[in-house]
Amino acid sequence: MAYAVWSVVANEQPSTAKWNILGTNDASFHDGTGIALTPTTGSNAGTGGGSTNYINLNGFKIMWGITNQSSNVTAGGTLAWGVTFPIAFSAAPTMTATLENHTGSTNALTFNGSDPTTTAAVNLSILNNSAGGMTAKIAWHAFGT
Amino acid sequence: MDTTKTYLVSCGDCGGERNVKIRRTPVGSYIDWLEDGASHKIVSFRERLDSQWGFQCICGNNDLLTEQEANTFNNPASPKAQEIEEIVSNLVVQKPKFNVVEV
Repeated sequence: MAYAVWSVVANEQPSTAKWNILGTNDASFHDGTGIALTPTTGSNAGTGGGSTNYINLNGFKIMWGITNQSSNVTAGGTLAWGVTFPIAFSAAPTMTATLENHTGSTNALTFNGSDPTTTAAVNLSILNNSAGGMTAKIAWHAFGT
Repeated sequence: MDTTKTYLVSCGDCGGERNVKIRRTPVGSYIDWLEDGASHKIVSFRERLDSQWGFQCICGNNDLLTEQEANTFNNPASPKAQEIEEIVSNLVVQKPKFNVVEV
């Protein structure tokens, strides 16, 4: 059930059908279909590029994004990227990140920087400890107030 | 003096219609929707300041407020006495968007 805007003007006399829209709206809040949770797209993804999104639930913020594909990271090299959060957290968020669209070496990769101490942006890095070059995107999620 | 009559109200946009009973009194008009459990497209009524009857249809046709009222009332749910006086002193009668025929 979807939410429908409902209002009356002075001296209006609604019929049962219009009154019952209130009940339908209540039901939409109960089952969640009437709650508007459309993600907002961030405008500045940071040096990693790509896309960022967020939902702000009355101060509890859920953010996620994915960077552009990196250039080649040579064996033993490090890819360091900054991700700018779409909106700032008031305290350092909890964060997870993974590599996506990995190409090149299939040896183990080490991800560093998943525990940010800042609120507006975070530095993410990939240490390529494999024997060959690789490229990847960084997909990330951050949660906090 | 009160008068109560039954009317067929039809929407000027979509043609949706329903029978209603309206009691006209010296202090206002009151509607009996004659609810019969059926689904009707016309869902609301209001006697406007121009003394015409306004209705709302779920197709989007809505003349509960005249344009003069909509443009004057800061809060249509609770207009100020000054706003009502302003309208009444310079009243513009607006043609209703619904057809009302006594049956």
